[in-house]
Amino acid sequence: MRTALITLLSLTVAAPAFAFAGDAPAQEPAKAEPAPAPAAASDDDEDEPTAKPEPKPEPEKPAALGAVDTGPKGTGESQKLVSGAPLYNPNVAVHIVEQKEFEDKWKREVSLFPAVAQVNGKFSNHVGAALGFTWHLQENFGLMAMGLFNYVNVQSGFNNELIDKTRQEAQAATSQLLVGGAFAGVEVTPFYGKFVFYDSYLVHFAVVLSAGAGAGNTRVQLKPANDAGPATYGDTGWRFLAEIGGGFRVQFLKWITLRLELRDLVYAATVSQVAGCNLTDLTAMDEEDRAGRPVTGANVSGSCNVDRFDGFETWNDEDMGNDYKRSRDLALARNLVKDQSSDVLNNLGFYLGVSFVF
Amino acid sequence: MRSISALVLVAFFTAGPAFAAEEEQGALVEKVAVKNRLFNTRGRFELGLNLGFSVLNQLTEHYTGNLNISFNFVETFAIELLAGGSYTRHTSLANQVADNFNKSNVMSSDDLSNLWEMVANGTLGLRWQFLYGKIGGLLQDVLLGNPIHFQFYVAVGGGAGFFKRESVVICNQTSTGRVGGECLQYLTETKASPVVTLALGWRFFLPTIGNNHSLRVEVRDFSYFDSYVENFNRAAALTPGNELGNGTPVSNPGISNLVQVHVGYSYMF
Repeated sequence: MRTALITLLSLTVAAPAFAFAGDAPAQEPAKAEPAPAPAAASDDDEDEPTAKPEPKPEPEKPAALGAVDTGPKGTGESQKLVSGAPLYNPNVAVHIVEQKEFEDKWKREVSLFPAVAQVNGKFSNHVGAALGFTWHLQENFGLMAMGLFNYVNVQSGFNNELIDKTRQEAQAATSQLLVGGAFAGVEVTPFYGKFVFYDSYLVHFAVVLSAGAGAGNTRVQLKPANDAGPATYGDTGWRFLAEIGGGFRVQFLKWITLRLELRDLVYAATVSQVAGCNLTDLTAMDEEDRAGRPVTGANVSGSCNVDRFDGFETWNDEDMGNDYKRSRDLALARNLVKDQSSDVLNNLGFYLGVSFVF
Repeated sequence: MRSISALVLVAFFTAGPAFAAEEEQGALVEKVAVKNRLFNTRGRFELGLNLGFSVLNQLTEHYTGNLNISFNFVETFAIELLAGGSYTRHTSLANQVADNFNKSNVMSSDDLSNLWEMVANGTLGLRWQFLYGKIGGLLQDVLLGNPIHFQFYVAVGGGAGFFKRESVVICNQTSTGRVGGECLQYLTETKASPVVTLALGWRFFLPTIGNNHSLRVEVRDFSYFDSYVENFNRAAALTPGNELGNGTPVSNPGISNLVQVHVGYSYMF
């Protein structure tokens, strides 16, 4: 009895195999004539000429430009159905519903962007890396957060050329540099699609749009690179940061995707203090330095980082001949803060990275 | 026990192919539906018009119009002829640099790089259209009712261009005849030079009767040799016949890159 029950269960599980194998031939007699495009395949896709009820043997009109030729005409192969679709019928072009291959709802995604490069660098150059996290609440909507660090954040060659050749440079706020930052927001996926690469590889992708807000740490160049040594910089504090971006998310496997995005980081750039020192602090330290006294003796505010202008910059080498006295930056910093400037900067960057979905 | 195990194994190995076969046929349907393209380009001529603007303007800005004639000799490759002209000018930054330098007391310096403006261009190249796909979602459901078919391509080409250049620091004529006066005429040059172009772009096929129409969006770079002088003297440059101000051409001026965004329309015959 027990054996019989198990046998019955086994046959029930295996039945679909035999049913599916016999499916296509069983339907052949019913499809003696080319059928209209099957409802499951074409009811929500683009329009295409429906199949004629009777094929006209002569005269055979030349195919219209762009028409699809899916195989020899009038053969049994042309009547074959695959999942109910007449793939091999030359009079029918089959189109299917855009179906997402991988679901995203409730999935979490960690994105690593090892290559983040600024593409609109007129007065500045930024190259960095970013780490992002996305929580897909719905198929087309998710929450995202990202941290960014620009390991290269310097003034552009163009700005340096202006300084060298014309003794001019961009205003301090316009050339303010973004050291790094963090922001959080939302991500939506309004468009999705697929493409085929060389008729062989089918790849699904989505267009992603993002927006967020956060904060970024900034600095300005004080001394350009010259005979006295490399360029010197002064920290100018944290700024509010807004982000807006868009790009492509190409999913190769269930758990890995490739992201190519353009993100614009917008922040208000102002130079009202350098290394936490305002104009009064910088003036006091400059007077101490001119009097031959240590700058640490100046009466400054609590936020002022006096050590930034004290001692020597050794450039991490043993050549003491090229050591740079940091107090020489006081005059440069004082001029920047004295002629206060402000601007709204757009740091448009290209983000190339890989994501892990789990 | 052994008979039960055997029956379970038989069930497993016979049921497994059922699901695998069903998944394979689904993939076949999907693959054939994208592979059998709605829009074929093989053997078709194209005529198009592109309008472009420079992306990152430093001292010059370009607004370009190009005529595009292509022949798709296979589905994924096309020969592309591009010819056009640009409206070019100095940016406000360039004018500001010129004014400030003219008022300064710097007497000798080097001219600035990347000041050549591409006035006209003609290139012949190859376009590789290696991706064909469809976009759905919001576009399909709300905006257009049909998915949008597209191609993604890479194009490379070479040819020649006609260029003009106006310096912002070498002044050949001032209102006072001396350094420091309002500059009336800056050093101006023209030349013809080779040009290399590289582009990445999308072509979106318009779902209209005839399957002839498409829109393009591309980022295109035009690269050409730069040239300028160094160690010029402002006073010497005011001397008639000495427009370079005793300056000497820079030995390695580098290459200028004009990066533009082009939007265009193509008609396929």
